[in-house]
Amino acid sequence: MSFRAGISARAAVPTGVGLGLRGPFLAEVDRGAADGRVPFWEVSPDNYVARGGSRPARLASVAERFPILSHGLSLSLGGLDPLDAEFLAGLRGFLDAGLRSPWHSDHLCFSGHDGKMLHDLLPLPWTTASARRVAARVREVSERLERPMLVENISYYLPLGGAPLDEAAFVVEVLERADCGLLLDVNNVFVNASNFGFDPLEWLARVPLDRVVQLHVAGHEFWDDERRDLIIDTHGAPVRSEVDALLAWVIERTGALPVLLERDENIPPLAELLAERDRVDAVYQAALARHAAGAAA
Amino acid sequence: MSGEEAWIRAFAASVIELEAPAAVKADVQGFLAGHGVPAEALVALPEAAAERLAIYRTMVHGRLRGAVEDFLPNTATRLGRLRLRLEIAQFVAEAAPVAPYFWRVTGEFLRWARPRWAVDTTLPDYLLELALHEWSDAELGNLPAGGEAASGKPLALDGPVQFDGTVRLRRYRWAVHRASATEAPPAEATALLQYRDRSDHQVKTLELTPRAAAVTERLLAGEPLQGALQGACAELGVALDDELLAAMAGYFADLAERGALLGAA
Repeated sequence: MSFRAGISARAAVPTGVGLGLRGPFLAEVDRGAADGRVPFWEVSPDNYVARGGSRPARLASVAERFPILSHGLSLSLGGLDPLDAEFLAGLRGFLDAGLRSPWHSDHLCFSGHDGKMLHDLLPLPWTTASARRVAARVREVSERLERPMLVENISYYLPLGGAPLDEAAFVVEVLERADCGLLLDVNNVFVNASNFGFDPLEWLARVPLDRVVQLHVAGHEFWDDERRDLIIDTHGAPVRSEVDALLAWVIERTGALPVLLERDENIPPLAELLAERDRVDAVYQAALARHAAGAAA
Repeated sequence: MSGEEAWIRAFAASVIELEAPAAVKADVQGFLAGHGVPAEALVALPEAAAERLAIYRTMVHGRLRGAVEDFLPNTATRLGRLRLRLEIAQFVAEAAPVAPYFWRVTGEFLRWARPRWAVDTTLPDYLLELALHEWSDAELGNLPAGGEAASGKPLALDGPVQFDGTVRLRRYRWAVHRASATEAPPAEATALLQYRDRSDHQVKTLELTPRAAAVTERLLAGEPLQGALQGACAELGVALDDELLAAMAGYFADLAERGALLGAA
């Protein structure tokens, strides 16, 4: 079964601009503060698996009222260590227990090495050997979770020298070898393009849009506010207009998709975040209208 | 070792190894070559490679430090930012987090720090216990256990009792639960019973008398009620009289009302 068929078989896919369900406002959302304002929430199971207390109880309550998309941080898809069987079993149990997410996603990176978990998104060498190895792990995860997998392109700050491929070619090779979907983070594309001086639209044009299943947008910050020569993907600021433009470029070509506005640092009050969601949604809806007009023509 | 593996090993080493920052700054190509990165890959490194590699280390360590600051705020304040930074670097080099769950990082850090801090005379005497108390709050708040169904059976003298799965007895040499952000806890032997409330999921802390603590310790170890009462009285050298039985009955009733004591096991 192709990844598309796998997605269709599982659950209805929400579209529009959703938010990440984060600890600081989980209780507010549970009490109904975002009802009718958000088409879906994205959750990181890593923050819920093997955990009790208020979080899982509140998530269960939110999941009764909203579609949930599942997005992880800890699979270390590019790592050299074997996949963590216990974690995968816990993840599978969590996903089976009622989230109804049509897929699970994680990043094209490694997060741990030699049994040590570093809890960050560390870059991979862009080689065919690496793509082959990562793709095999993505397939294995998909089989163990019994659901389609998406992989997300990351922000990187040091390309590992001497690699024969570039990032776009590496991403495409993983997608095709794993037959998986792409969680396209257009902010990461912008961050990398800014830091390394390439055209983000040229990068996007090389990605098979028929494999794009979900988008991420976020804000970013300079590493050094005085030098302003390196942008870091902090998810700690509002989305910039350049990232809006990339979002619109994709939606004009793909049509409706779930788009996740990420905010993980400097998290504002929920009302403020909802207002930013509305602003990004206006960008999304305008692009969607252009897509529809293009299709009609 | 393939070039791909070498890159991943070298990259991880730059984040993990204690001497990595100095080595990377002095000679990034030498550092990477020393971890097996092939020479042809090193030629293509950007000029800012050392700085960029260091950024990853800063981000990883900063994230771990932030977790410790979130869960152990009073401990972190007393350690100070510089000392905590050094502790995190040492932790990553010697042990590092292992679990894929970020919220557990602080517990992993504390497990590593515990034997070191216990003999570290540069730290306040109470600091380790303060840290353990702060973490206990977070740990119980997130334990998968808790909320078990009650047995429905009344307490019986000849049988053990059933507690909620989150109930813990903590003993400290300082009254750590009374420490504030700036004030040290009183040097006072303290027994605390902690559990997670079933309705609001908050961790509740009860300061126990010595006899309640002695009985609870034995009950948590699975002793029958009568044996726990007798053993506790013998341990403390107090009489098992009507006053004590009445006090214990009141204590058990309070725990039952709180949902911490569920009946006979």
